[in-house]
Amino acid sequence: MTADNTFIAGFLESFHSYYGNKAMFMIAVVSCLYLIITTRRERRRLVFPMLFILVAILNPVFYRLTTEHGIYWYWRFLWMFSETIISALAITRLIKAVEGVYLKPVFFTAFCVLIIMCGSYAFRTSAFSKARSLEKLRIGTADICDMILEVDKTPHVVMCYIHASDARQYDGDITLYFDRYSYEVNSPHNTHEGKMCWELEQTSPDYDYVFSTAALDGFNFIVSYGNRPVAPGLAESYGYRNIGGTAGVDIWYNQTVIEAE
Amino acid sequence: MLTANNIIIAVLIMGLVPLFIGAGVCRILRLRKTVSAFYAVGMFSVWALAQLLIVPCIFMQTSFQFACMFYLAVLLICSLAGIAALVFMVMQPEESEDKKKQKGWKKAEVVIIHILMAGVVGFVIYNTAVLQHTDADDATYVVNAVDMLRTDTMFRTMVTGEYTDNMLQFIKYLVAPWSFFGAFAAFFSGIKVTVLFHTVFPQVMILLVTAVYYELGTSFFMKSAVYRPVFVIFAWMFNLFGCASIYSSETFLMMRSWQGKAVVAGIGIPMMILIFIEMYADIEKTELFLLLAVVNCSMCFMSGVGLALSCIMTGSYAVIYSLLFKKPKMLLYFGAALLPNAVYGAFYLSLL
Repeated sequence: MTADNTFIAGFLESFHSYYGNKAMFMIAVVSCLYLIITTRRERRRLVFPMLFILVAILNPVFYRLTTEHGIYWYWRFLWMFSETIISALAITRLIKAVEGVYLKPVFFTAFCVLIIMCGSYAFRTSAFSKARSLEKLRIGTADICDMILEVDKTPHVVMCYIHASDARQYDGDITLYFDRYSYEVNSPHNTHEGKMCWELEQTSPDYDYVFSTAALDGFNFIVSYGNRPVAPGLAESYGYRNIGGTAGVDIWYNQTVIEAE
Repeated sequence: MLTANNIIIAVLIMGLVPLFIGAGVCRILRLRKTVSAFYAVGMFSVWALAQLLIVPCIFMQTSFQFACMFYLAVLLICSLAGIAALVFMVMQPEESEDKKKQKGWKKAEVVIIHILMAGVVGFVIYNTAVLQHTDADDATYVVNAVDMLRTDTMFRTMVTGEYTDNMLQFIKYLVAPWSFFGAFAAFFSGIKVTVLFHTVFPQVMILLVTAVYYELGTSFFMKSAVYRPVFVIFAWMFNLFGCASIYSSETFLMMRSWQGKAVVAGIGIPMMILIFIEMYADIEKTELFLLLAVVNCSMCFMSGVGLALSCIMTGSYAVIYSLLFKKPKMLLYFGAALLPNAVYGAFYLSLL
């Protein structure tokens, strides 16, 4: 594959992944056509500028320019083509143009049904869950943090990756060994943090490394996945003891650990 | 738990202060005098002020509390000016062109369709309140705000909780300190930062984007009040069912509206389109270019991507309008409106 083909393939992939099943994009395209044909004013002040922006960004040349300059979020440029406004305007104008008082509600309902059938619902269960508290953190994070904070108000925690993003939103006094950017699937050993994070994510973690490094670096808590058990006596050999488990994790505490610095 | 005090102060900061400031700005810039225009213009002005005042504070390494007090003082002064403008407007009501053009406001269908619109917005607000979506990006957006309150510094604590002297670790956020606004609101309202971001902000953003959509509806359907709420309803329908991928602006607005980049995608860009649409009606109105500069400045405050996108949008409309109206002088005005982007963009590049 030539370099140009690679860019075109990358560009097409970005386009496909942004617009999903493309039903909404098609509605927006049809809306643009409708507005171009039926109204001079909207054509000039909304559709032409939007199409100008779309043409300027939705092409392999611009894609190449951005990616070559290290911009990994090319798809965010597509935000400027506001299909929501164009489509809503076209539909509203179409309803307005319909003759007959009784036909208008019919068209209104028909368009609502069309959008529902073509679209992907925002509040679907795969994206949202029922809020359990006003903080709206990941399930279990608050319980884990409460257990830790009960023992130490300023803990240093090696937190398993799934809760690492939310722990400090719950309490800023928690210090974490690694953050969400530490998990590097392809090159796990670039940093200490990356290695620690990677180890905890393995189905059979190297707990020797995890406990020894945590103790050495002055981290008095380790939160490991409950379904990845630690060999009996291993944690204790590094001064850690299990203080309980919640939300599918085990919490290990070392009372004697001294901060490395 | 939220107390009555928490809620009152939060409503003051994110409701009344923008409304008053918006009233003042709308009067000075001779914009539409409606509640939705006041709120939309006011909120963007509040963010633009934050950008103007807080970025220097961050670089001068002032304490977070000092920055809050300074910002609050300016907001209060602007609010007082806004209240004065509001009183003046009430005492000397002027029948605007918009009002003259409005027909059929007393018709039952207008009331019914407005109630329907309120129902749709209420549905979104209810679901946003009772449901939750966790997003890993909050590990920086929310945590940065948590650390501002905890340490009384701005952008000096890594997301892991370690203190650092190297501010350039936060280069992305130094020029776009969106987290400050959450920390500021939390500081005065007493609401926990996480609650403020995840529970209060989404409601504010829903009201704000509805205000922007309503104003857009007014611009599109100046003469027929009944179609404005219809436009808003369909705009919300597209947001509700437009989540075709995790990348779309609709997804960002619906799922993580408390983050700066989501505000850029879901609210900032519609607000810019509103200004451009208003410009078409009166291209000689220089006040609209001032408002564009304010919105561009607030886009810089929200996110680095806001800086880039507002720049491209302004440039694109400058090209199109200068061709349509055949007035090259207009390019100067558009250029002036891009001043905030140029300043903060150059500043960002100088830090790299």
